[in-house]
Amino acid sequence: MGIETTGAALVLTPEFKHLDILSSKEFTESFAPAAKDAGTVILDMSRVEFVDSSGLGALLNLVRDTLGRGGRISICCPQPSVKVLFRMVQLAKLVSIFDGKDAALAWAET
Amino acid sequence: MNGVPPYLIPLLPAAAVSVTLCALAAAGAAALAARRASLLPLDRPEYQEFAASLDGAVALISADLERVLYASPGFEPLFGSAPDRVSFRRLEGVVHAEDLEALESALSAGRLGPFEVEFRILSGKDSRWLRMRGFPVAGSGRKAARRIAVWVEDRSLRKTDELRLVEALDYEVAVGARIQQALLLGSPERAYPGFDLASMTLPSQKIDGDFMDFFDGCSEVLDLMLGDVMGKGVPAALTGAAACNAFFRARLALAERAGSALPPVKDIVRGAEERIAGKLMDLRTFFTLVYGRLDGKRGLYRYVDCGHTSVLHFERRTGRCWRLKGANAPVGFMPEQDYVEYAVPLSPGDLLFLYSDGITEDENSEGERFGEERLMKLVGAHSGLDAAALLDKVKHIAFAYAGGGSRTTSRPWRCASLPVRPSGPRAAGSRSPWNPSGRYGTSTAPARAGPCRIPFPPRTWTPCSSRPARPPPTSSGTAPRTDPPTVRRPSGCPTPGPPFTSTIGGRITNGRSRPLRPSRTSPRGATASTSSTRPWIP
Repeated sequence: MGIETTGAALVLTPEFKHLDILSSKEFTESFAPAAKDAGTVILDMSRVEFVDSSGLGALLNLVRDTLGRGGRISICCPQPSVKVLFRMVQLAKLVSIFDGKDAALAWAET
Repeated sequence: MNGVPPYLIPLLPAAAVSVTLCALAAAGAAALAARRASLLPLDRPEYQEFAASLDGAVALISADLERVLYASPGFEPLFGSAPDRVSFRRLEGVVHAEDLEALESALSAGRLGPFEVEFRILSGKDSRWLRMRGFPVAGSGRKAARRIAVWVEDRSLRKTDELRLVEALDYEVAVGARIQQALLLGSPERAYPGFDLASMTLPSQKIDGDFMDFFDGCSEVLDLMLGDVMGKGVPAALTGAAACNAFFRARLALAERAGSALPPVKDIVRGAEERIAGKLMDLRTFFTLVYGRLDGKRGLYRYVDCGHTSVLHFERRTGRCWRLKGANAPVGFMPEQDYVEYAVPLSPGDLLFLYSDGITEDENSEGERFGEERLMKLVGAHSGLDAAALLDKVKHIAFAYAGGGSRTTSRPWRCASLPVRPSGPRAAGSRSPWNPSGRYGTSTAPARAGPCRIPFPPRTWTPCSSRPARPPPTSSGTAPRTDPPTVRRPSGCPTPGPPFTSTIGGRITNGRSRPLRPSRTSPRGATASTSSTRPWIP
């Protein structure tokens, strides 16, 4: 699980192919404490090929927690299959989603 | 040889050597005695009572597993044989056949690292569960172990309790699954005149979060609801039950206010959301949903989609299979939503196929998902079957797809699907109560003639090869025009927005208005993987 600070943003990178019922707990346990004090968070989904409803729930909770305490969060680099899911559940109504990491980092600097 | 360098020994007289060796032996014995005194000699008689009271035994096994080099007194009661008669290379007839491979594999690995294994030791007609934890004992500078030290304990009582617990849990899950099947995933209670309807559920872990319900409206009107709660197991099923309850109460409250009229679909969804969304957010869960109304009198299917998988609409007249999409997020995603209701006209022989994601997410042996495109083609190719036969066909083909090779994933198969087909009059030349205009999306279509203006949904279609498509109507007048669709950007979205948000509702071409039906020049002969996106955005 990648956690690094790039510029103004904390970049979180899940390092498993499937964000699902098996990995969502690790996702939350790794990222929730890391993002707790971060003002701007970017979730880099480039390595995730599949997200199920449990994984989406974990992701949603990270988004809500970050926004709930006044932080900012965006998602970048979703793979096509994951993008389809995000589009289906209208995730873009809650959080900004970028195709590339550079765009997300530029957003973080604004 | 204290003080005597080894190289001097041959130079000493024989007597002197003898004395020196005796001194050495005495020193060695003293050291051994001192070392023994620092250990707990479990094999000495005065410790046997204590040793016998232990639930386990310590043993030292040679690296070739041939011999037991040392065993504490508890070993023999556990294995039923004296240590010198036990060989861990020949376990057949000593260890239960089902556990043999696991034990041999663990012992083999025990030369290189710690291990833990449970197995049954045979004792007459009975067997006892033992647990063995082992550690390699390597000599100094050696990588491979020369011996393996093991701790063995009797786990029979605890194992029996564990098995009973698992059995009890299995029983609870089985009962829960039956309750879910009966109360949350019930099949239609009766035949609905004018509809050919069937349902099927294949839960992944016996209990999961799918829920389905049917609400009988007035004559020729039927409400269908299919939802999928985040996660699996009993929590998801309980949430599904609560969701069903919320919809039932919302319908009841709205019906009391509306009198004899049916409450609008989006009001029902909003009413249910008001009852449950806040609680879902507190519980950090959500559900996707498609709630739709089949209106036989108007020949319409109205629906609200909340992040659920697309409804597939096979249009018999054109031979095309459409994805009907929505514009709402799942219930519980956000505190409140402005729900968008869509409507599509249906004709006799059209088919709607509602399903949850288990069927499209399943993988074959090469890790390729079944996918929505494949499902659309399957539904289109077998659209001539009645609803029950179609479900059966889909189930068998999807199972064959997922089990066609040695599966490398254990992703569960989960599906709740619901094909429904209006079966109104089909006599040639007669005007059906379903879509009396006989045209798809014309200005006189019921979707536009209704009391409220309901937009057509964003749809995508995939060519179906089941039958030659009929030519599009040519005498139905001017196709209606809509305002150029606008792209809805999500709130808080920066400019430029997320690259794909503009395609939520479809692709925009040249900013021109679009007809409400598929273009006559649409790529009917396109390759099987081709699909088009229609640009209707409410």
